[in-house]
This record gives sequence, C-alpha cells and structure tokens, in this order.
Amino acid sequence: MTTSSAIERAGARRDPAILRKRLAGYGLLSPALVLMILMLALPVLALVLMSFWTQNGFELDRSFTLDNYRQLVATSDEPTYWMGIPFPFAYPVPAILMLKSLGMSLAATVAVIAVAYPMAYFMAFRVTHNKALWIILITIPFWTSYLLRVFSWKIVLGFNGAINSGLKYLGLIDEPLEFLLYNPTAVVITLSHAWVAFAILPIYVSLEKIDRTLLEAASDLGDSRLKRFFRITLPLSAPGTIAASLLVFIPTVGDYVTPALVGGPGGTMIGSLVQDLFLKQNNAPMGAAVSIVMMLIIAFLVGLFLWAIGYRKLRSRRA
Amino acid sequence: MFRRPDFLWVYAVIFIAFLYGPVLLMPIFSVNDGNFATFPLKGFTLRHYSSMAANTSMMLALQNSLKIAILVAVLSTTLAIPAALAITRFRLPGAGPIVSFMMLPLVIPSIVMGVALLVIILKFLGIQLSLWTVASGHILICLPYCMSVLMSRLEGFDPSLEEASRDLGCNAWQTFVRVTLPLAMPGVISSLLMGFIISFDEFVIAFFLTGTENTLPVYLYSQLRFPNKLPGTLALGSLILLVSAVFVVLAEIIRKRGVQSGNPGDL
Amino acid sequence: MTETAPIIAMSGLVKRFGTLTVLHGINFDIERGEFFSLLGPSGCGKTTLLRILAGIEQPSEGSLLIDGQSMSGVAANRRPTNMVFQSYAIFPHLNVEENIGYGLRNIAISKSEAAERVAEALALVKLEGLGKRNAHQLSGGQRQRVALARALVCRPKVLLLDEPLSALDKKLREEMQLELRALQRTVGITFVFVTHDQEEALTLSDRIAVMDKGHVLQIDSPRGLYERPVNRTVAEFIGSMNLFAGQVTRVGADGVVEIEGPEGRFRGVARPGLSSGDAAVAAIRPERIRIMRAAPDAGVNAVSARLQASSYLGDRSLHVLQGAATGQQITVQSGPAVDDTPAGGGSELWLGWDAEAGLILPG
Repeated sequence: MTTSSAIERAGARRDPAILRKRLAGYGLLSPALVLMILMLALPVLALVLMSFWTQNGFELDRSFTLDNYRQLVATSDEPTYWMGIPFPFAYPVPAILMLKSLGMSLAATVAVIAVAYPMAYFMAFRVTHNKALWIILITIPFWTSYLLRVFSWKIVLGFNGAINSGLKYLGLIDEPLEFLLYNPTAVVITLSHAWVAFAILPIYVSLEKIDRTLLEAASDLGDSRLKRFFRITLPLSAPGTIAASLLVFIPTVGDYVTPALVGGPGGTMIGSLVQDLFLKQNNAPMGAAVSIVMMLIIAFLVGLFLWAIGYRKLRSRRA
Repeated sequence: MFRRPDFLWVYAVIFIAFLYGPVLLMPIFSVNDGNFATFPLKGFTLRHYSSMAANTSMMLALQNSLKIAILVAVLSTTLAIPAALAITRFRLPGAGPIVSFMMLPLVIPSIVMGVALLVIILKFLGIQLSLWTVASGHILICLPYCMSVLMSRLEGFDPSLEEASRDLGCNAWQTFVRVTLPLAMPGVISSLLMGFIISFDEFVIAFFLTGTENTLPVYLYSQLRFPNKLPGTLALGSLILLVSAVFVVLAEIIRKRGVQSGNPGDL
Repeated sequence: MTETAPIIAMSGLVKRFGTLTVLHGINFDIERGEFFSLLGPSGCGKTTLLRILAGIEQPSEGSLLIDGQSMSGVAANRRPTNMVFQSYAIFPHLNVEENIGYGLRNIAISKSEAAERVAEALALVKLEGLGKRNAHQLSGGQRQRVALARALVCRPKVLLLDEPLSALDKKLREEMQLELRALQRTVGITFVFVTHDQEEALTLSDRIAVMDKGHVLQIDSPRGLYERPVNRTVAEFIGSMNLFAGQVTRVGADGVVEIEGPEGRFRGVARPGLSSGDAAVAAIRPERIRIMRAAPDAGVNAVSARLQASSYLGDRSLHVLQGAATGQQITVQSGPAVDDTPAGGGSELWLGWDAEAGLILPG
C-alpha cells in the first residue's frame, strides 16, 4: 500500500465528499453484488445446510445430522480395491470416483497445457499479421456448445463412428476398434479437446505481454535461444500458465456431461455420481454432502498447489 | 543467416485441424444422405434440415432458449454496466476481493452451482422449476463474463475524457450518457452477444433447473439416446454451431472496433 | 592483434528493411578505449547501427570486425559486446543481484567469483546494499545503474549504450553524464554511445559520428565538430548557428573565401572545393557575434539588424534580431558582464565578427 492511498483512507474518514463518492460507488455496485450474493453465496449455504439433512424415501428429514458425512467416511474391514489402491470405506464409491476424477482431470490439464502452450507461443511470437484472425479462430470453438463438442467426439470415436468407419472403408481394419470409446481415456481425450481453447488465451496474453527487449537483453548477455526460453520466457509466462491450468482443472473435476456421453460405465466421474444422487436416487442431502466434500478437496489441492509454487512470491515479483 | 525450419507453423496448422476436426464432422454428416454418422458418405441431402422445421418439440425448445438467452443477455449486461463502472471509476476499498467473489462462478464446476441452485429454489423456497429458474441460473454465470468484458473496455480508454466532460459542465449522469456509454458501446454489445451465446448454449444448469419446458441443449441431450434421430440431431447441432460462430465473430469484431490501446496482451 | 588496431572496423555496412534503406554504406573505425558517440536526429539510423554492432540486427551488406574478428554470422549471444538498453530491460522476475549476475551464468567462472564480480559491480555503480531489491522497487536512476552494472560485469570488449539517459530528468541526467564519463575512464573499455542530444554527445565523447538519414556526415572530436562543421547540416545540428546565404565571389589561396548575399558580404574559412559562383552560406556562432551601435569600418561580416527580444539566462543573454535586408532571424549570445548590451526592443543595431571566427560552407 502506497503512502498516498493510506493518506486517502485516513482522509476519507473525515472528508464527506470522498465518503459520498464511495457510497455512490457501492451503490452502483450493489445490484450486481446483491444478485451474486443471493445466487451464489446463499445457494451454496443452502447446499451446506442440505448436506446436514437426510432423505428418507420421499420425506426430507430436516433434523441436523452428520449422517451423510459419516457415511462417506465410514470404514469397513474389507477394503475395496481400485487400480491396486485400497479404499477402506463402507461406501467406497464416492472416494474412488473422487480420486479417479482428480486423476483424469489432472491428466487432461497436463495434456491441455502441453498442447496449448506451443500454440500460444506461436501466436505471440510467430504471428505478425492478422493476430486478430488467429484469436478469433481459437476463440470460436470455446464459445460454441460444450455439449456439441463432447458429442462430436462420440461421433468420431464410436463403434460406427468416423474413425472406425473411415479405417474400415480404407481397408485398414476389418472389425471396428472397441477401445476407442466408453472408457476413461476417451473421457480424458474429449475433456482435453473441449478445454484446450480455454487454456490458450491466458497463456497467450501473458506471453504477449513479455517485453521483447528483455529477450534481446538476455541474448546480449550470452543466452542461447533455448536458454533464454527457460530463463526468461517461461518464468514470465508462468502466471498465465498457472491461471490456465486452474481454469481447466477445477471445472473438469466436476464434469459429468463428458463421462455421460463418452465415458460408459468405466469412465464415470464424481460429477456423474452427484447427478445420479440428486435426480435418479432422489437423495439430495447425500448429493449435497458429496458436492461439498468435492469442493473442499478441490479448494485444498489448489491452495496446496499455489503455496507450493510460491504464489505470493510470484505476484510480488511481477509488479 | 540460417533459416530454422519453422516447426511451430506446422504445429499451428495441425493444431487448428485437430481443434476443428471433430466439430466439423457434424455439419458433414448432417448433409450426408444416410441415417448414421459413418463413412463412406452417401451423397448430399438437406432433408435432415427440412424435417427440423416440422419437429414441434424442437421448435418449442428453440423458442424457449431464445427467450431465455435474450432476457439473460439484457439483464446481465444491465447489471454489469454499473458494477463495472463502480470498480473501474471509483476507488473502492475492498474492490479486489469483491471482484474475485464475483468471478467465482468461472471456477466453480457448473454441476455444483446447478445443484446448489436446485436445492435453494426447490427445497428451500419451494418455487417451481421453470424457464425463469433457468434464466436466473444463467444470469449467475453470465455476469462474470459480462463484467470482465465491460471492465476491460472501461479501463481501456482515457479517463481524462470523462474529466473533460465534467470540466465542461456535465454532471455524472450526463457524462455517462454522452461520453462513457458511447465509448463503451463495443463492450456493451460484446457483453450482450456473449451473454446470449453463453445462455443459449448452456446445458448443465439448464438441465437441473428446467421444469416441464425444455431449452434447446436439454432437448438435444435427450435426443442423443436415439440413434435413428441422429441425423436430425446432427443437423440441429450444426445449425447451432454456425449461429454461435457467427455471433462470436461479430462479438470479436465489434469489441475490437475502437480499441485504442496498443498495449500488448490487450485482446 | 596489435593494441593499436581499431577495436571496431566497419566497411560498407548497409541495412535495408524491405524496400526502405536505413543505413547507406557505413565505413569507419572506432579506437580502443574511446568514448565514441553516434549522434543524430530520430530516424538517422544510429540505433540500427548500434544494434548491428550488438548482433541483434544483421546487416544486409558489408563487413564488421570487432577486435579483428569478423562478426558475420555471429549471433548476439556470442559477441564480445554488451548493451545498455534505452528502456533498461531489467528482468522483472529477478532481483538486483540476479539481474547483474545474469550474464555471468554464461561464462565459465565459479560461483564465488561470480558473487565477487557482482559485488564489485554494485560498488562501481554505487548501489551497494541494494542487491536483494526487486526490480519494481527501484527508481529510474537506480534501474539505469543496474542496467549498466549488468553489462559491465561481463567485461565486454565494447559497451554499447542506447540513449541510456534519455528517460532521466535534467538534473539526474547531468549527474549521470559525469559519472558515465568517469566510469569509462576507470574501466577503460570502449564505449559506443547513441544519443540525439548534441550537448550530451559533446560533454561525454572523445569522438562523435554525426549521422543523418542513414549516412555519416562527419566524424570528429567535439571541438572539431563545433568549430569546423563540414556542411550546413552538421553546423545546424551541433549547437546553434547563424547562416547567411550567398554566392562565392572570391576564393583565396589561404582558405579564406568571400561570398556575397542579400544581407551583405561575408568572409570566412572554408574547406577546399568551393569555386566562384557556387551557392554557399556564411556560418557564424551566436557567441562570436559582436553587437555595435554603428556600422563597423570593415564592410565585410557586418549585418544591420533590428532587436526583437532578449532573454536573460544568468550566465549569458540571448538576443533575437531580424536582419534588415531579408528579415531572417539572427541569434546573438552575449556574456554576463558586457558593455555593448543593446538598449531595448526595436533598436537598430549592427552585428559584426572576424573572418577567422566564421565559416563558409557549401549550401
């Protein structure tokens, strides 16, 4: 905080003109803010509250109880195994799906960043004319229906889908390939494709903002092109890249559209469970509990990640 | 001076091909004279498109989506304009956390928001699910986008323009109408278009919050189970794709018109 | 490699950007240990030339030798030069020490020696104790010093400076000019300094190359440029100069040439090459003109003028007058204690000077 804003704060307490201006500012802000509080904070609170209730058949029992959470962490003597990892829970499905979803989202995020970064680099450093054209090209898929983008992969990967029928037509295979669709890999591929455009923009913006004379200075001081990339370009594009990874990872963990369309029984994720609990099983309290736990786990992991990379240090250096 | 073979250009072209590839298959198969999305192509036909018009439930869903999208676009933008003004023009203490709070919907999985809204609307407030509930859910997710578009537009032009207007005798409202709004107009239009598309294409929240009436994406999802309806679904999907693409290009072009800043990184 | 050979030798350097030629055949040498400036208006090509020396740009034609070795095909990172950029280019994600030590990671020295060198450099630019500061916590002057230290710590053979003082305010700039000069003498390496400010060039340099539109007009010591500009462009660019147009009437064997024009007859020193009838200008510096109330006897180098305005600048006064014959503007500078200060605005006065004080230039 600079001294001028400190002075301003002190002055505001006494100066009615500044106070009035602030009030006017808050006034302008309030409709949107109030709406957000109503539509975001309250529903989430309601969800939390709901997670402490129970559903008995058609009746919603509103007495406060921790039963839902207990059910989630209740242990059993016989652990269920998934991928060789023991899950010692009586109701292991949420835990397994949670881990599975985290794994799949992580895989998709890594894939997305690996694929998006070179493209963003290309747009920032190689494109000299018509940058706007490339930006539009990248942006269009991102804004068109998510449902359709996922669905188009179903067409591509399906039993009678584009790849299979195309390969068959070309005489390369006799029988359609079964492994393409309805498994976790298909989900990861589809997620990556659906989210890659989302990741390019933040990375592109942070690459574009790099002062080109910094790169000239690094060369002047003896860095080869490759060394310069690792010492200057990569660190300076880190904030954008990190933002992109979070922007992809967090929403994909809870995705259920993709697993529903291309995951099959093997490719379900935690989002599928939540949807199932709410709608088919009509167990809103349990669904709420699972959602809350999912959000908490995500928040914890993200916090851990940011702390680990010295987020605060990065922010203070970037100025 | 040696020329490095520019592998990045090759990469970029392949990238675009993969990005658009699967999506472009939809229009291709939608004009394919067959009932399945398989190769080889059987010939060109528009019958899948013509049969769409006769499909009343789809037409209804389309109408619903349009109604909701227009409402959401207008309301989100109307709420976002004063909010964006407040953040960019007034130095409010706590602005940082407030903006972060308002951007939260961008990072919360839509399923969580869908169920949270479902819970509060249905179980707490006892309101029936309807198109209105869908619209309210959509406003929630459109608001952050509209706000960031407007904030970046408002920050992008010279503040001394407004100061000059005040100096020449206009009060705050007049300055807003005569200087700020016209200059921010590309951002406003962009915000409206963005809000429209987001709402029009949105599936998850609509899925949880629709009552008896469908939106188009929800209708589409229900059709995906029926393989014989596939070509019709593809036709619908292709049309939606085309309309969205046109909207996005329009939004980008308008947003760019009048962007004065030569700052790198300003999209 | 003899120690007296020039450290930089340029021959036929041409630079084109598309159809635009920015440098037309640059040929000159820079000597070891010189403080050499490239001076000229914006767009004259001086920064492009500097960047060619650094290796950031490649010439379209011509050859460049640094310390006897050809730089053709040699990339910027392998040249024995280091540059101080106009915007300083301080790396924002590194602190002061890391910035200064940046180039040392590319030289094969031990960590302890690198740390020593960094400490030395910090002391040299008077920034001791600021090693751990972050880039954004530095003032403009401090950033400039960090940029300087960062370039010097690599011990280049040539230090290139691209208008490093242009972003500083006047007082700071003058301080830094003196420091730079002292620094160059202490460190002893060749400095190639780009500036558009002729006063700065005159203050700092051993020799200056005056450039315009991609050509080198004159290379000389500050005194040489000021007192013996080779043509009109250089004369007008360095300091201020009064020019009186005319035609050559007589060319003397001793180098004294006489011309006649609307404002009168003028005699001055000229370089060989002028002949009778050529268009020429008489050039005289404002401080070499005397102001008189009556016409001088000589009849040559005497101009009748009317006083327009006078400005008092403390250590000198500047007077603006209008020539009686053509109305052209004439500037005269007089010292603080002078007995022939003119009376007041509108006075009719005579201006005169000695033939040795004036030049005749082609024009």
